[in-house]
Amino acid sequence: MKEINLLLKKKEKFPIPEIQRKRLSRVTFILLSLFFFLLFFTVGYSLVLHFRHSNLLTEQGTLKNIIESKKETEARYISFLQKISFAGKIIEGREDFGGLLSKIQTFIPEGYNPLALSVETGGRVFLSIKFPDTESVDNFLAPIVSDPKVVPNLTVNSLSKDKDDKYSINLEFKSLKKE
Amino acid sequence: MRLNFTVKNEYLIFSAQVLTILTILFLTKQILIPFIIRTAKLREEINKEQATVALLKQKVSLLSGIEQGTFQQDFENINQAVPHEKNIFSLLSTIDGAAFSSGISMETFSLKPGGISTDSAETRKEKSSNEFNFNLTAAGDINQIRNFITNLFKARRLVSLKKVSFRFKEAEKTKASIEGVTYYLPATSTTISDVQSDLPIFSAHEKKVLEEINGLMTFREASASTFISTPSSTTRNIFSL
Repeated sequence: MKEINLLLKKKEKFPIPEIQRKRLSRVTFILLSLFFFLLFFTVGYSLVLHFRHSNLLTEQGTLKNIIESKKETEARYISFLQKISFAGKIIEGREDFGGLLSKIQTFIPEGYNPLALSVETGGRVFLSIKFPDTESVDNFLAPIVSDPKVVPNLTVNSLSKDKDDKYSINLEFKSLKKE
Repeated sequence: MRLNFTVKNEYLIFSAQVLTILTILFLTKQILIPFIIRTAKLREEINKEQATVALLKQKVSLLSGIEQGTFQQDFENINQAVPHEKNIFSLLSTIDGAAFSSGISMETFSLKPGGISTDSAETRKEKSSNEFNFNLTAAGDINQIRNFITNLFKARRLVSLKKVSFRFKEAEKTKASIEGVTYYLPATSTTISDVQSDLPIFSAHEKKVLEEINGLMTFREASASTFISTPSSTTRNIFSL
């Protein structure tokens, strides 16, 4: 009995209480489990990734070799794209002289005889027309002059009369307004 | 004696537990965390490699498609529109065809001096311009000439006109003097430095241009030459539509 009492006294003096010892054991167990779980998971996952990575590199190498063997085709394709871009610029910059001529045809009334007509890039038009009298000249010019939007930048370069009393007028203007 | 043993035993267990925790923490810091970081980096690398592989696959598929004949017609059409060389024959057949289908008579045709070149001459000054000029004179009525000009505009061999001059004379056919320019583009020696480089894909604009070129006319069907002027009856109604 004495021994038991002594033991109990000693026990009370033990620095770590029972509850804390249990907690510590639990924490140790959880940490250990977590550590091993993470270790195994990471190692496993890493192995899978290494395998996948090596497969990807092999596949990449094969594809690169295939592309290497198709370099000529690639150059042809790039040249093709360059040509499309070049052709696109040409098409954008071209002027439809045929369309412009159609417009000029509608602009000159029937019965008037043009002597010369010249159309240049930028829409500049030089027109020389013969008229039987001054009244015809006025009739021709009046609607054009009244609406400068129809024929922009109109200039009468010269007006001359020939030996048959016919008038020739030289006009210069920018192309007719786009519809 | 028994008491001492029990206390000692409990201290031992306690110490072992503390030591285990410390070891776990140490191993986590020294091994587990760097390992996790390395794995994460590997994952990132794999994502990059996957993107590269996808790009390469796309490139291989596109190149294989080209080899199997996709774009073949487009290649031909664009080469007709803008040949690698000056290809005078193609220009002549275009003009000939346009003249034939519009009914005009071609009177003269000339290329600007230095216009005709061989491959070796391309290294000279004209190489950078990728274009050359031509002049021609044609006779017909105004509508025929206008149709000829429209045909040239719609021809697949790209031609731009710089100047068109008409001379209207009574009792004679209308004569037109046409100054034009046509184009060529030598195949550049494209150096493909990196197989991984992205292969450009058609933009909407390029598709539109290609469609436009595909829609342009070829004049192969014009077999009869109009370069020989034929005398014809005069039409007086010069400017009537």
